[in-house]
Amino acid sequence: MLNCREVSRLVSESFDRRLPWRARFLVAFHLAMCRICSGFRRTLRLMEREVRRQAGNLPSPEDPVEQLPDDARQRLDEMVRRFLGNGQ
Amino acid sequence: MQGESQAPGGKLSPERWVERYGDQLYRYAMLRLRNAVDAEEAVQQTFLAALQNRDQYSGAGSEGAWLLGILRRKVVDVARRRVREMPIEPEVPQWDPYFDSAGRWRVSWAATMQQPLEELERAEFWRIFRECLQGLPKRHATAFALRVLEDQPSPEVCEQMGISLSNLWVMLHRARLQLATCLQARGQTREL
Repeated sequence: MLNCREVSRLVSESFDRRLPWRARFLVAFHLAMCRICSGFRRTLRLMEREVRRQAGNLPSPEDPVEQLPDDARQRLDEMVRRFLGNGQ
Repeated sequence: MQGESQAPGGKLSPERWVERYGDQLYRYAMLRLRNAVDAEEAVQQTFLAALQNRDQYSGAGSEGAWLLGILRRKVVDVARRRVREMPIEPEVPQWDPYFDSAGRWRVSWAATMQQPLEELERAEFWRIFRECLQGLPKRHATAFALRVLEDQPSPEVCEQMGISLSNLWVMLHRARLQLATCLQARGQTREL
């Protein structure tokens, strides 16, 4: 029998690889009886789905947070100008 | 083509790249690298590579997507260099906030995330998620960024971070525990 700590570790692992059949069986058996671990798995599943869905998108230009700081912007502009100025 | 402010094929002249794409690329890099110096470096490397290779951009697909493709490789490059300087977390902390000594939960997962999220809720989720990610130990956050945000296979992430598979899984487990707990504490989960 696995305890909740071990099950939670396997549940997390199941997002990164296909578990061996014996581990899958033990996890399924535990989840059938344990509401907390079931809730944990559901939470992870929804979190992973939402995070993956939003992560691939280039953030929208209107999103005001974490704008390129002014000094960084100047350095980047300067780099581009120099590069283009060198006639490359 | 050079010297025109708007080149054919929806391309901007490179002088306007920073203005048009700077914020977006920076934010993308910030989420994954979590500090301003590294994010700026990744963006700078991206613009530099784009300037050097701008003849290779075919005009198929958006220019932003093309730059993003370059940025993704640069983010991994920067992360790969930085991760070696990050402090190593003890595998088992002195006091485990999630489990007691018998491996039983200290946390309740009776509530779960609401699904599907409405548009406004998704923006709110994302804002809170970003803050939760900031709270993670650096190596855990990097592992999560490379594996989940960048959606790379585990063996590649291991190679980038210089760690074993079992090591990676331990880190991702801790990262997910902390992120899920943080989201729950910040009201991003509901009673079913």
